[in-house]
Amino acid sequence: MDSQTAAEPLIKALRVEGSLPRDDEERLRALSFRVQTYAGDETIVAEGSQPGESCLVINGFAARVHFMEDGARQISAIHIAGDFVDLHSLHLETMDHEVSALGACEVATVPHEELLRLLDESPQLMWLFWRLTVKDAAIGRAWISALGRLAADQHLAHLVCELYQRLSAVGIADDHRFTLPATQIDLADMLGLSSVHVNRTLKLLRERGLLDWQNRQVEILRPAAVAELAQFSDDYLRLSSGERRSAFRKQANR
Amino acid sequence: MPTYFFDTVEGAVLFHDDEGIELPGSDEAEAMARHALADLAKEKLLENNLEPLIIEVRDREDGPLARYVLTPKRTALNGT
Repeated sequence: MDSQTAAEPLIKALRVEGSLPRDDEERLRALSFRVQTYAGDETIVAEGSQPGESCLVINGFAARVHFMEDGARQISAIHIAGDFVDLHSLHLETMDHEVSALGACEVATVPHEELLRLLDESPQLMWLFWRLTVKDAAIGRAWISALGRLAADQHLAHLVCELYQRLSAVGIADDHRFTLPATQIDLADMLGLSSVHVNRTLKLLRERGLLDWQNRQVEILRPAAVAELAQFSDDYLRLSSGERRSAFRKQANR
Repeated sequence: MPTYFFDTVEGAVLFHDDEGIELPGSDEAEAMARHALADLAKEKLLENNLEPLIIEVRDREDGPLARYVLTPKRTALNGT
């Protein structure tokens, strides 16, 4: 993907959240994107850095990673194509965590000044970007609950259900299959488990005929049973369909 | 990095690890075995499964390195 088409995955993701007027679409396309490709595990945004630009995933996956003093890692979020991963840095003075590539990943960066100008110009984009962060927070809450309270098989099932739902919403997955270039170690660091236990759990889920996860290909064999095991409901991924209600905003848009 | 294998015995069920995991050395491999045993013990205890749990770590070249055994034991204090 080049800088001309870098906005397309974001436009697709924003359309899931609400209506996107044509002039806002054009504003997004006019941003000066810098496209970069990263290999798996490569750092995209370093912890402790003070970025002057925000990045969005345009192809592949990125992870938010926290490093503990003993070298342990915790992955607190996965981002897919169209996710504005680093909208945070617009507000965070110093990055409190790292963003790294989960498998090969293409990222586009936009200078903060341009983003701020964009938000000044368009209340609708402000509203949609706000929704993106609300959704990120909802996903974060679901991850905390799963991490704290679900058994290994339930937690794995939850991760699979959520990713499939998110990927299929933007047209990257269908037919209950998707590709996730995460290693066993990445998975262990998402689930807070040892890699050995993750391997064992995957093997058991396969034996039970629920899901198959091999060579980075995930297939949900029995979707209803997997969702039930995970206690998964996609409510937290679907924000209200209501548009902005402020009459003042409508007037201001004219 | 060398590949280490982790076989488990849960009561009568044996899991033979044929995939293995690459780790920097045997210290990391044993730490992994202890973490895996802790994960397994949590799962089994919450299911009220008190069977003995064994995990063995082996190296492709040198064979078995260490065995960790955990036996949950319940003692009834009120005769039940």
